[in-house]
Parts: sequence; C-alpha cells; structure tokens
Amino acid sequence: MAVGDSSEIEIIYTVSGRAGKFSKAPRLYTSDPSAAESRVKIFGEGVDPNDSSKNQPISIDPPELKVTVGEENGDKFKINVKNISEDNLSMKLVSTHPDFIDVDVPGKDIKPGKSREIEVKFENMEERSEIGFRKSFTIELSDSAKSRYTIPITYEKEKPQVASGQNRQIPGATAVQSTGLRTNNGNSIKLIKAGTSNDG
Amino acid sequence: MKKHLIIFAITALFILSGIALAGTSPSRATTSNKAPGPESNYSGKMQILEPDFDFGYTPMRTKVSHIFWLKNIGQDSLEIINIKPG
Repeated sequence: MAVGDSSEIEIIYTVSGRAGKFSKAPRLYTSDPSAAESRVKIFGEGVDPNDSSKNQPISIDPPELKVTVGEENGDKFKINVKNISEDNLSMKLVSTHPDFIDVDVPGKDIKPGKSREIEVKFENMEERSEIGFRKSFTIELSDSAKSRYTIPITYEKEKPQVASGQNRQIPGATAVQSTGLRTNNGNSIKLIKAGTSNDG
Repeated sequence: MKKHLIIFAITALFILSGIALAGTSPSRATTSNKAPGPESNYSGKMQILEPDFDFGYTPMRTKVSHIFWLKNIGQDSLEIINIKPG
C-alpha cells in the first residue's frame, strides 16, 4: 500500500449451530515496525430465529435472505422488521457490501407493534450470476442497548454439493480475505480458511 | 637527456594524478527521486479504522461478513504480509 492509500480486508465468519456468543480476533502481519502484528476483532451472538424466549426488541422476517440465481431480475427483496418492544425504534445501517448489495433502511421510526421493510437490491449482477456470493449487512437500533442484527444474504446458482472432506462448512471457522485497494487494481491477499476453532 | 627527463617527469605527474583521482570514493548522488530504501528511517504505518465490530444477533448456521479498512498513514509503502484467523 502506498502512502495514504487504503485497503480493505473482509472477515467472513461461520456462525455455529449452537446459540451463544462468539468472538474472534484475526491477526494482521505488516511491515509496520511499530506494529508488526495487529488484530481486528469481531463478536456477536448466534441466535435461533425461531426462539422467541429471547427478549429482543424486534423480529425479522426472513432472518436470512436466500436467493437463487435467476430470481433476482433486478427486483428488490424485502425484509420485514417488526417492533415488538414498547418504545419507538429507528434503525441505521452499520455494515454492508456496497459492491454486492444495495440496502435501503427505512428512515422513519417504527412504532410499537408496527412493521417496516428493509429493501435489498443486488448490484453488478452481470459479474455475480456465475458464482453467486454470501454476504451480510448489519443494522443497529436506537434502543438503549444499541442492539444490532446481522442479516445474511445467500445468492447461489445451485445448492452446494458437499463432498467428503471438502467444502465442509466448519462452524466457528473464520475465513479472511483481502480485496486489495478500493480501486480494485487486482491485488489481493490469499484467502485463508480456518480449519479448527470452536467456540460454541 | 634533459629533454627525456622533462618528458618523464610530466608523464609521471599525469600518472600520479590519475592514481590520486582513482583513489577517491565516488560521490553519491546528492538527490534521488527514488523512494527511501530499506535502510531509510521512513516506514509505513498501519491504521485500522474501527478495529472492532459487533455483528449483534446473527442467525445460527449462517455466514456473516464485515469489511475492515486499513490505511497507510506512514511515510513509506506498507506491506500486508499475512493474515491469520484468530
């Protein structure tokens, strides 16, 4: 990276099949003599969307957006957000992948018992339709806890075939990749997939 | 004879001058448009914009992702050598 340039690193995390909190801290090694090893940190809580025992302020339907290639046709997909708390809530987008998805979060408050829709539109489909993608976006509510929700998006051509010992989704695994400079000049750091690590 | 001596002296003078010039160390370029080399005091410095990210509530058995931004705020190029999962 030249002086003043920026680069992005995408952290992909597979949430395990057990409800509970998770936390990971991938390490970055650079030529910076003052910080040869640095860390970024991701954390969150895996939840069962069907479990209503959690005292959460909103319900999201669907909790995960799954789209098969050919279904998009330039349409917008809608995710319903219902306020099940007793206070007005607003939400804002805190993380997304603008090269892949365009997320439109309602700007108005959601009154208790009412719903609003998040609209998701796919971007640059001519480049994606052959391989699909798995991304997600994160919203933050205006409640006292500043609750966050991450909605995964799966866009695929066909159901993945799981061969023995290959392409197996390892719960808790952290995959790290870098897409180089924002200008997409082709530089990228190798994708590293974790083979172990379980944290529930 | 005298003439030969004069010629010999002049020749010797030239030879000695040449040796004296060859013995001096070559002058370094006073200016360079190249970036400082490995021995330079300049270095890249990495800044991670928002190093922590909270996914909040996420559905089980799904993949979630987030982009972290790195910026070189140093005075030389910065190399990202490796990345290892935590």
